[in-house]
Amino acid sequence: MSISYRFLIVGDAPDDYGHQVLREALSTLGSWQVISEAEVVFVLQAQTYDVVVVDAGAVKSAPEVVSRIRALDCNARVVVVTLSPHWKIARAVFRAGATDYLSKSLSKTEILANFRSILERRVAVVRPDADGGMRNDTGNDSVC
Amino acid sequence: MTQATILFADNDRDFLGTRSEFLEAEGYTVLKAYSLEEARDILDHRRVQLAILDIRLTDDTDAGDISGLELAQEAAYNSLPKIMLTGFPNVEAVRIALRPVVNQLPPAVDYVSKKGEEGRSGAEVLIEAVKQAFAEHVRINWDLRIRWGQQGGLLPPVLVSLIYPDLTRKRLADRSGELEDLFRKLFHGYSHATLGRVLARRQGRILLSAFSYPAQGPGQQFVVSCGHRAKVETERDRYGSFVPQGVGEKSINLEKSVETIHFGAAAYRLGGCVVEEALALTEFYHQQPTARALAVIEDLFSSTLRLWYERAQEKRPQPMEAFCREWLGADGGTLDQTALEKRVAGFSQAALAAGVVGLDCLPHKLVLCSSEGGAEFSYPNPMPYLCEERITVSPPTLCGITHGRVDGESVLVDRTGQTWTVDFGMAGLGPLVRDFVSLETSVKLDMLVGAGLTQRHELERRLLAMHHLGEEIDLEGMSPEVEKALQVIIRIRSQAADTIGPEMEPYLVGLLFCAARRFFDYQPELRYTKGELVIFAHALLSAAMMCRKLVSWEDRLHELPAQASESLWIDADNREVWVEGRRVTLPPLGFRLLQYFYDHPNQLCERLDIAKHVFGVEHSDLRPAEVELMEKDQINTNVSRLRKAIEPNPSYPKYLVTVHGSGYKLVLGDVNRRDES
Repeated sequence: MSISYRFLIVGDAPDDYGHQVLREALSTLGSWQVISEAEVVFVLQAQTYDVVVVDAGAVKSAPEVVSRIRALDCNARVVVVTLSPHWKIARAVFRAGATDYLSKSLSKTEILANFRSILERRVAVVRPDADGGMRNDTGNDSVC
Repeated sequence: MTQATILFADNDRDFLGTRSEFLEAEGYTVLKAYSLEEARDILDHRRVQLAILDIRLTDDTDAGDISGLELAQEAAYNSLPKIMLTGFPNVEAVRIALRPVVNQLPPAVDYVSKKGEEGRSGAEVLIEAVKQAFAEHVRINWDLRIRWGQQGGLLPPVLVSLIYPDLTRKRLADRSGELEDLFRKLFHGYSHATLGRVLARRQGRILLSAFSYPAQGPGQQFVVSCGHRAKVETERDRYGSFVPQGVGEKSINLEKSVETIHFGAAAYRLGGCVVEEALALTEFYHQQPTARALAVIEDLFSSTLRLWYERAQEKRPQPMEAFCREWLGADGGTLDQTALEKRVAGFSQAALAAGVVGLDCLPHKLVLCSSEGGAEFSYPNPMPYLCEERITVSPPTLCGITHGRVDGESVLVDRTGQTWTVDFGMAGLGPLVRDFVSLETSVKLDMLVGAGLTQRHELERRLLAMHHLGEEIDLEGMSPEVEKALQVIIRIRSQAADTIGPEMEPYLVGLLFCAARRFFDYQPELRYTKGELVIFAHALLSAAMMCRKLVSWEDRLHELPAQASESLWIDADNREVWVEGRRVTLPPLGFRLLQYFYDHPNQLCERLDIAKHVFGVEHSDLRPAEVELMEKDQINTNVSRLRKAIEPNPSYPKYLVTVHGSGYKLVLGDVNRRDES
């Protein structure tokens, strides 16, 4: 029996075809919920998810959203997806604590392969620690 | 900030020169590497806290050159924070460099364009990235005042020499600087730190007491394990997997662990322990009378280690000997017979020259002639036995989570006699007997001092006369120091009997391998004191004596009827029980119970008859409730114990089976019937 994962998509883009493909692909792996970036703190304080997917095209600043999620002491994998990848944004989201940064694909097969790989990997969570440094925690299946 | 040193690797000499000047102007010391090889050489040998690596480190014109990024991904350097530098930034390289990795740094902590960004020059961006990396990832406490042991007895070069004894003088200074960085990372957030003393020295690793003090408020006390990075990481992982963790008295908590390229350190906090006042068990043993040493053994096994043993116990079919071979191999031990015999021969010459012992080493026999009174002992040479796997008396044994190396250094004792274990490098699943034989070996070879080989031989002889682990032995005529050692060993064995059962065989197999392992530490190319040679001679003698005892059982087995090795057989004359080739030790009641079943093979033995004939209780004497209680408390309990002793798998008994609602039946196969006919 395959495991059913819970995904939280931050940033709604109903007219974006890539967003639709993403939702369809994630349906294969489990269930998903879409929220706006304003709701992210509230929802993550109340619910647990395996993966938080931040749609860079549908939020003001993907690095800032990732920072807000990590500030919650949330251990979920945080994946930023984008239609227009750029190395500076990639650098910024990783430095904010993202698990991965993916180009938004229109291929369901490619999306599935990427997310399966992320879910299979034990991941680390990088977040600021009490005396100012960065802490690299062991990732596990426990989430927010 | 003159101590902050950066490796800067770029194959463009002009670029490297100018950018380095900017960094040096900021107070950093820059070690320049113009190639992959130079970069690797600096990483391997110099004191470096951060690396800046050009991605195209081999050929700037080759778009496929990611040699700098590949260097950053090498496991040997994964504890060093790195910044990737490139003139050709791209998303995929950022992903490879910065994607987080479990329990370690990502290949790089930052990714910087040579060309600069957002109105800032490349140099400005790089300097900012370096400052940020030092603050967030290097995290060296430059202001920490460290006292390196009493009167500076634990200065970094001293510690490095303990960890890397073969290091050349040229490399010692850099490695000492790196070790200082390690402690400055470990005690980040404190204003003062003091290293107390070395508690234990292992191969490539030492354990220290350490004390740290914040700018305000009370200090903290730790036991710090530091040494080769891989060894400290292994210990930390084993701690996480096997050591019972919790709060309060006797708890052991990993407070913090840090790494540099070559070193690792882990600070453990021991609940309820005043580390400054605690003694290693060896010191305690020497300073305190026998009664206190016995109380400490009791506390160690019945309280401190009980928490370990209560978890995950099982009787494994894997023979004891297989585990022992794993131990020997686990720490670089070797079972090459030629090499071992050379070592024995080298030892023989050294011992003779020092006047310790005359050792005649024959292929299958060792003759030791002590210098004290000329007594001659002849025993089997244990080396062929250790190499040829001839020890067949190797019964299955109770397994669980063990500390793995309980000895005079890994146990701390406070003034009240409470114990704590440290050093978790060997913690893991295995036979519980391991901890007991490990400590017994340490008593004989580490704690017992001032005894000559003749006395040590007598100690071994008396211990080998024990039939089961709970037995008392004659202490008459021994010197006070040997008598103390014997009493402590008897207490260890008594604790072993309570934990794993009274059988001698697995215990002796464990002792044989522990003694052999200690002898393997002998290095013919080194010179030893007379006292050290006596200890090696004792280890060799001990292994030989264990061998003779085990071989005598092995030989004995060949003389016994077939059912002793193939099934279950009772030697009524000697009151011995043999199950599938191993001798089983039973308490008197257990033996009586089994004898009753054995006298009625393959027959139903009803509970009432068992009560009458084994426990001497007449049914007519009892009320129904008492019958039920008798069955529950005595028969069931004793049958369960008997199964643990005789059955290869007590959960699925093949000999002593239950006949539901009636009683039990001892099932003996064709082998026994053949013999009876």
